[in-house]
Amino acid sequence: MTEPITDEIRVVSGSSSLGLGFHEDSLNRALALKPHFIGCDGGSSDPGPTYLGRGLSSSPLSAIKRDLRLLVLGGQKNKIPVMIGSCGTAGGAPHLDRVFGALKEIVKEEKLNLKVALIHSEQDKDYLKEKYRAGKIHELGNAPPFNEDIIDRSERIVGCSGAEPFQKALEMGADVVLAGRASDTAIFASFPTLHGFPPGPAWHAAKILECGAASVKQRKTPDCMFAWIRKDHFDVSPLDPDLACSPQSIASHSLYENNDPFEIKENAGTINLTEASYEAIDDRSVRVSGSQFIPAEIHTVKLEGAEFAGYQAITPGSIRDPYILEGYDEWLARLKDKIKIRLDMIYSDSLKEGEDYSLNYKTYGRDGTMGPLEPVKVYDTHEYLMMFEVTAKTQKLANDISEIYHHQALHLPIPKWNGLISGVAFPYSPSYFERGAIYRFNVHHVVETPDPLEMFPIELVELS
Amino acid sequence: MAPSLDDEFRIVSASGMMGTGFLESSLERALEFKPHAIGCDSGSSDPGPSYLGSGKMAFPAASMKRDLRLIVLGAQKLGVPALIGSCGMAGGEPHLQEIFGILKEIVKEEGLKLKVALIHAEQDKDYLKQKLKDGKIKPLGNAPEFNDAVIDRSERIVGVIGAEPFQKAVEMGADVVLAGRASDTAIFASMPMMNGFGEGPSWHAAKILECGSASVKQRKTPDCMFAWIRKDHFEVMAMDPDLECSPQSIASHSLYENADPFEIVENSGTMQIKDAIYEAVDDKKVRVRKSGYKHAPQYTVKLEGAELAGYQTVTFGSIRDPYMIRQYDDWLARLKVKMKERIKMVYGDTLSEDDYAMNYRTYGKDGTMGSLEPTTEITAHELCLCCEITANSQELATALAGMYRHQALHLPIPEWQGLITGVAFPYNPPYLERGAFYRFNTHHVVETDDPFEMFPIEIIELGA
Repeated sequence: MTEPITDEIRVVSGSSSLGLGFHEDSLNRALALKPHFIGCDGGSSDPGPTYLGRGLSSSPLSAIKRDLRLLVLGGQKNKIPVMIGSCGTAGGAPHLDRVFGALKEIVKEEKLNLKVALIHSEQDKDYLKEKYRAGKIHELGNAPPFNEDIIDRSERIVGCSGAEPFQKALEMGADVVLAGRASDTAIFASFPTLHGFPPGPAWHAAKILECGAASVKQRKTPDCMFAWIRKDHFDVSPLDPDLACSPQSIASHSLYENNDPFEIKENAGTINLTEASYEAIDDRSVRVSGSQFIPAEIHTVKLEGAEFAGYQAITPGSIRDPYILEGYDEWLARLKDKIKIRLDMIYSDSLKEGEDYSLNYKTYGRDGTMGPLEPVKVYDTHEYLMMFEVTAKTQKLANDISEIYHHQALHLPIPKWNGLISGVAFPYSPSYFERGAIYRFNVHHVVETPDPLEMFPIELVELS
Repeated sequence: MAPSLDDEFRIVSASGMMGTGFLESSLERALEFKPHAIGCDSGSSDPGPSYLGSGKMAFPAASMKRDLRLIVLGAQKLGVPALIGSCGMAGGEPHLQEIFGILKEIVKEEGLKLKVALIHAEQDKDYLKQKLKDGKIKPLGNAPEFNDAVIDRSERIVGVIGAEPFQKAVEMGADVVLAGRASDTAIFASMPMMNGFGEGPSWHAAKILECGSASVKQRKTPDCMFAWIRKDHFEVMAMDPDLECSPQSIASHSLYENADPFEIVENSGTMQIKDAIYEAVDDKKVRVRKSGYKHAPQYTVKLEGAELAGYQTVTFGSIRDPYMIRQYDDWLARLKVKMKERIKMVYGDTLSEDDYAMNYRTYGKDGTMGSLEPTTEITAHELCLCCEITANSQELATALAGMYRHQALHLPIPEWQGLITGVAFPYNPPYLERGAFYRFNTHHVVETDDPFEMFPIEIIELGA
């Protein structure tokens, strides 16, 4: 830290997620407003457990690198820190490593000199077992069972870093902070609270910033968002002149991804927005005051884990014959029977449904999106798309069952037609896709830890 | 002791395709009728070029083995030959070898002693180039360009075997004939003709038999079909007592898979069935008279080739928001523009539109029939959008699919403010990788005066 900042903290959020893009113009406009730091979220659990399980990122590395390059060059130009949270989508070790690799390439290509802090979020299994045995791992609502077996069979478990490791990295003099899985808000709340700004406006502003320009009135594409955080309020404004914030657009953002729009939990406490008030400063900027942050009695760290759930193969096939559509329920029931009979014929008793494999039939045009929650019961369309999903112990078995399905579905007879019919249009050859290993989230728990740093080792690396 | 050839040739077709199954009771019943041969088709080009290109089989080895075991055991019980054509779907060398491997397992497991004939159908590239140079490769209707470069870049080219190599294999004393890619009908027409029965009834009966019981009035599942071929007519009957043939069901089968229902071209000539007469023998059995066969002045062998067409990544996502469905065409047009902009943003000039292709297919609108779809109004409450990206590498196709997901997911519409999530992607990652995919690249015949020269026959003795 150079000199104390007393009047306001200015901050720009690069985008809603690193790799989703932003306009270069928007970032340049932000840099002209002299922010004290640049932040950008880099991940989410929204895209699902496979990213955590397989170590994948949801944005292509080329897109991550494009965004990271512009942010780092901007940070260097203005001599301010850049902080990226939840690197590479899931924020495990391979994800952090991937983004760090991109940064190293950028440093080389742009001939930079950087002090980089890596905040590691992937958890040691023995540490978690120790915590579990000590009774320091608590379940959240509707949590699945958790025990040492689950820790063992998890492909990977990460902790969600709070603001403190970011603050520590800043104190260590980092130019760029790359964090593993982190609370999205912690990226942005860390800096102002480190500089003594009250946590209420800091955390609430962070909650708006972490989605980039998502809380504007009418969104175009992911883009930058700017905030001025002051002692008793904060102001926000988008950087693209075509975008506008309104009190409603900012207030309604609290409904996004939260089950309670007034109380939003963080590691160190709860953002309380019950008393927040939103006013328009002009037709694009909003001032928010009255935001509060209530510290928790115990610091907790949320865990995210993923475990292997089998191998899957998917077969899409469309149905366009009005006679099949008319008797679809009955057609599908007969198809399911045929598949059962055919699998028995081939595998006799060597395979059991439910143990060795499971089958799922999903029909778009009926209830493919919403399943049993679909309120529409009369399906008025001339075309369905049926997805046949097999989950099995091996990819080969999933593929084999898909081939059997293909032939049974293709020629399943209906009373209206005589002879050999071809009733399902399979667009691909082979008709199935291999999904490979699939994963499920397997924890919904927090670790009680009085030391907010102990689960998140910080590594300082000089790059040049 | 083999059944005697009185005044008829009796033959059973086990199934429409080996690996798709038949009832064991149906085959047993067929054996009681003392067939002189058991035949079964095992392939097709219907499932597309990927099988020929990749060398993979379409049906699980377990299902192939189940069918082949019953066929071989049945043939051995009666002491008659079993003839299998188009082994392993595409009938190339890897397909033939895989089926041969399965047969070897069966021989071992059942303690059999067999003389096996392998008829190879995969073509030598130098042979084809020589034929091309000699002007002996002729295009069929709407054939693509064919030259040495096409031959070179083909993953695999097979010739379609006629009746003669099957006859030769039987003459060589084969108990089981495993053929590479073969005319489906040649499997069944070969033996009656070599025993002096008329070409007309032999080929026409073969055309019915090659699909197993597909030509019954109301089909249940693939099953056995039996034919009695006599000098001037043939009779057919399904072996499952629940199935019935009628004059109409048998006559209409000529419409299946043929461009012309009266003239069906084979290597050595053309079936002439315009004058054929279909009569019910009883309520299960049909008699067919006056089928003809006209020899061609030149013997030809059809080629089937497949070449690599690129790498594909496919993303399915459903749309259930009535506002989006109401403006679907406009929404999709905007999405396409956004994707172009986003690709430009990430790749700049390093990627041109020639490097990739994007195809959008909407189920509930015209996903099955494309521009041929006569329904113009969307009445569905749910659509499924399928985005297909083709590129020179899987990595690029998948990188673009990752961008597509995010652009589609949050694409704004005027009716909703703020950040919307408009597309439900059922999988994570949302994309499915097809890997290398292939296209058919020939529609040509080779002129050859020797029906054997393209199809070497190998005799192997298996068993104790």
